[in-house]
Amino acid sequence: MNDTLYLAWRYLVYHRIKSAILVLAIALIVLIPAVLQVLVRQGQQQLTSRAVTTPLLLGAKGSPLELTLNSLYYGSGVPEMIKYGDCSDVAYTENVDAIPLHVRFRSQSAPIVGTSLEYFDFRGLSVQEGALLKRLGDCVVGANVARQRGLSAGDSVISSPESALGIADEYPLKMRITGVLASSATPDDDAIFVDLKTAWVIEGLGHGHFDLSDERAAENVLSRDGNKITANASVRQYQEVTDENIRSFHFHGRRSTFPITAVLALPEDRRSMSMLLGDYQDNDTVQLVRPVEVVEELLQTVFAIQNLVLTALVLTGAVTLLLVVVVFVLSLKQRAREIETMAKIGGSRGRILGVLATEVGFVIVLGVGIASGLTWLTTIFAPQIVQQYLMG
Amino acid sequence: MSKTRTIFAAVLCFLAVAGCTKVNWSKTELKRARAKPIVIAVNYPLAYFAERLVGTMADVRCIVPVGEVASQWNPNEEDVSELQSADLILLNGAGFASWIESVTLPPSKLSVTTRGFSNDDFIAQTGAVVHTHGPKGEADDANLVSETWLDIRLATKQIDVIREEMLKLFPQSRDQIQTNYDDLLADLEKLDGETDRVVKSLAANWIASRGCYEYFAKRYSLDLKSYDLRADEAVNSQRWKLVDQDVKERNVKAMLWHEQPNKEIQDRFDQLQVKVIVFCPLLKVPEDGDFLLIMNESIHNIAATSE
Repeated sequence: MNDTLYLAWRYLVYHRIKSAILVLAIALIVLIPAVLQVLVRQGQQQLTSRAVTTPLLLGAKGSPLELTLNSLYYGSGVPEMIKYGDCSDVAYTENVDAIPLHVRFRSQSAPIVGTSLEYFDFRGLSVQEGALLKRLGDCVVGANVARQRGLSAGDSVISSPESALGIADEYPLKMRITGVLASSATPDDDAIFVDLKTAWVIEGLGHGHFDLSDERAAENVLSRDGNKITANASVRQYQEVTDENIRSFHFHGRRSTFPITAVLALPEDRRSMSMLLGDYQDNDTVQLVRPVEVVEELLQTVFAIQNLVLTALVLTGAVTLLLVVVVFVLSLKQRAREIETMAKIGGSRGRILGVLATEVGFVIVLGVGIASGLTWLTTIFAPQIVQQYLMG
Repeated sequence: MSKTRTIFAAVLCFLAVAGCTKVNWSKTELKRARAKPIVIAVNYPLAYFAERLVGTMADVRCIVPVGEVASQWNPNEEDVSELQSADLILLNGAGFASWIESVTLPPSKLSVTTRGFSNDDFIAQTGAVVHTHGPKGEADDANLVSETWLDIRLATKQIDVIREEMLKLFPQSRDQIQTNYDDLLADLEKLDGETDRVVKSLAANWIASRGCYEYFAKRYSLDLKSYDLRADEAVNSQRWKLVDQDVKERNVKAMLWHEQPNKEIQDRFDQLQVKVIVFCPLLKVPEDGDFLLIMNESIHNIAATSE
């Protein structure tokens, strides 16, 4: 038995390039559908688990998919904004909690998520280093953001201007990092979290500047009418919240009209959920969606595409397998003299067939082994791969 | 074996029923159980009202340290952490504690005790500066008078809100809270009646050292004008001129002071025949006494003047 294995192995090693190509072909036939399956399953799991734990989502009328992708996975498409008053309406509903979300701005590629402290409890996010938000201008960064940018508590990040020309109302804000979140293998790892009020400061609805009744502000004042001062837009605004200037930060306008992208609505039981869904059924301006239904719809599309891809891969694999068989058959013809020599030196027919079959077995076992190993590695890193390349 | 199966089946049934009635994502389930809930108020009167309602059921605190003026105090990061760890944060509203705008607090734990007020209940500050930037709206400046508790009827509305919040925190102690509520309201009603009687007996026009008495004046229909005067600082001649003129024009007979003014000021008002009455607006956490005691003391000071 050992000599059969030895001869087969030596043959493969001698023809290493041909053997490697065959092993690779077998590995790819197995690997590609398997990896695809693992990644799709992981993607499905990640999408579904986040959607399942998010009962209801309130957002502007429009695409439920865009609303869900922005609110749950911080996708780059920003849905139409709704008013903060809509969040208060949900919060005032009996047995329903509401968490506002403002996912519009970014710091480099990381989404800046404006929300309330309840969000961290709701998602089960804990701080690995430092502390949660304390004041205006503070932020906590996700584990991946901290690792990729080498950030830790005490450092700072700057919000990126939304428009390339920088002519919009928003101002880049330098934010103090108060903490780094522990990894949760969710889109939260790639986000930067701020207080909703800080998001409004970035939006230009709140700001800090020196006292306009001060003499230094004379050049910025358009008019003074009794106790009413009208300033021009050139008033120098602070781009960082510090101990010295924090008291000067203020907001213009009514809070209830300030924008948010969505509200996470958390009913305490199914009855409250049904009642809330009923309340918003005929609303003209906002929609209340069940993320799990939106994601299931998306996944059905993904599965349909996956099935097409798998069919194509099975066909490709079958063709490749046929080619491998052809290679083996041709190889047998080429090796006629070698087989004849083996017979002449006393090799029985069974032993010769055994050597040839072992060669094929080695190729198949190696190919499948490599494919299995890589599939196993993919399974281990699938959460990160899906996070990084599919949902990022 | 059959017993084990029965238990297993019972557990499964229980889980199934539990799964049908309760949704997993309920945030209530995430709230950590604590031996004694922590209730933090942003000023002393609210802390007093809350404590009267729940007694020792909750750990009721005022976030402002003893001796600090609540309207001028700002929290440090430790204070913010303390607030974040509370089960309930009682806010006054009416622009009181403007620092709330610049710190991060969990909205689900915040309760604005003036939320039941009508627009007419609030009093706008006279002379408050507001600013705009071109076409943008006016800044959301705190331009309301904040000391709402000095109008006992408004304080009662605030207590209603606190009671509502306490019933959510202690649903099992409804009867006890209601009894405490009735007692507190009876005390305040008595205080209100006594104040009304004393103030009316004085039958005078008033001035005040601070704008904080506006709600008090409105409640008892006092003709009161406020000047921003400090008890320990000399008043400049221009301000004296205004006060002199006002005293003459309105025939002012009494002045409310947040604390005893220095001798120079006292002498000047004596000359003007204006009686100085120390009326503590409870902006500080008292070192001795409580809300009722201090309010009664202030009413006593007014009564002593009328005698």
